[in-house]
Amino acid sequence: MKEVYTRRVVFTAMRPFLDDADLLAAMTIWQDKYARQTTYAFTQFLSESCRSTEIRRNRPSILSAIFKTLESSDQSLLPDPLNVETNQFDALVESQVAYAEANHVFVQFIENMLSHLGEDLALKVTAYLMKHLNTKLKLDIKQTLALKAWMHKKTGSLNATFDNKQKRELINILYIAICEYIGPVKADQLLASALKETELLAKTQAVDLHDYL
Amino acid sequence: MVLGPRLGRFTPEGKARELPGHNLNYVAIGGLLLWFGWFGFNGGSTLAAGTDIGHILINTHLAGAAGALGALFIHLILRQPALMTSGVNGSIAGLVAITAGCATMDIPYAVITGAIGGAISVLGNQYIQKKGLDDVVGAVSVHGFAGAWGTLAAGLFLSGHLFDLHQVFVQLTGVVAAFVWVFITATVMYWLIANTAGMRVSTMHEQRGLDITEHGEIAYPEFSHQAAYTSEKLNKLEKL
Repeated sequence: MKEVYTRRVVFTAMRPFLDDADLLAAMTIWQDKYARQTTYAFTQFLSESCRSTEIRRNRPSILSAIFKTLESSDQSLLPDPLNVETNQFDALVESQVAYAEANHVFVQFIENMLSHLGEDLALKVTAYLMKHLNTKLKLDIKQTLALKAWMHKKTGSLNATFDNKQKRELINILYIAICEYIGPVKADQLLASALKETELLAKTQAVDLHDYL
Repeated sequence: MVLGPRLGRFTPEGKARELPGHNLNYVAIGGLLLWFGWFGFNGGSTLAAGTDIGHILINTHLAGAAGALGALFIHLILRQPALMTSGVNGSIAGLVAITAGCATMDIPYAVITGAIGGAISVLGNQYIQKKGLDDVVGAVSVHGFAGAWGTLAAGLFLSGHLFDLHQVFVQLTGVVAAFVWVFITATVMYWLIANTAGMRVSTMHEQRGLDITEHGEIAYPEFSHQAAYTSEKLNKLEKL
């Protein structure tokens, strides 16, 4: 009973601060490592679960929200995310799976592009993308966080929805970075190779890769 | 300077990266056409058909040839590979350099003028690259630097008044006046265009290539098996 109550507290307190993907990741960490501990270890839990810089900045507020929520009544808490009837946790998992499916070809295409660069250059190109993300692209916070989490390999999939125009612009920024580091001639060859390597997957998923180009 | 370099023209450390032309044969044909056209340009500039046209044409031709050799020779001195594009650019630089003095210079001086013009085209291009400027065909060094040299040479090698410093000073005044006027007016004009109508295509255009985004066709379809964009997929591309 106490475990369910604390889980609801954590879920309720964190909900205003985190998007679906981050909340799902945080609740997974809570459930795996902290839910059955006899004493609360909220600070440690937050340092582990607040992954992006933006969320980390809110850590004191989240911690204070958790303590405040601990004192609030049972009725004011959100339903248990693991409860099958309310199904919220499942909904989060489902949304993550849906994102993964929707972005699978796009993610694979980018990974194929980066795989030709070698680890060092791929890191530089990724850093360039991160640096110019806000100046060259119009993304909402959720998309930015999802992209950063994925690029820093904290999530296995890209957990946000991007339209084709945004995907095109993202690939264009990567192309610019690749041009800067290895030159436009090789960048064109790399783009063509990545396209070829992703073609089969795109066909099976009924995605036209030229929508991204 | 206003437009900025093409994507990837310089490394993040500022070193110039070579972006070779598509077809060296076309470069050579282009150079040949210019060389041939220069006979009409210099020969026709006298505005009258006289016996001096022969002298003008031989000066023009020899300066062009000396320009090519001058460019290749400077590569030899610098222990760099003698590029065909440098030879072509050197010949054009020689033609540019002799234009001012083609009617007033003796033949040996025309050869010297052309050869120095060719050498200047190579050195000038390397200087421009070091400054982080992307001169796609080396036009500034060929037409600007070699042209300025040719204008001075017209005073220096003026037939009957060889090495007359007063004449050189007159030519120098002309070079400075032309530079100041053109540099200021052109910079203001390009700055205005860049900040109003826009002068540079977007990076998306650069990624696809202007043959596709501006002309709607692929310039080199024979290489499409190595390219991301193919003729069959052109119609499916989202308009920019």
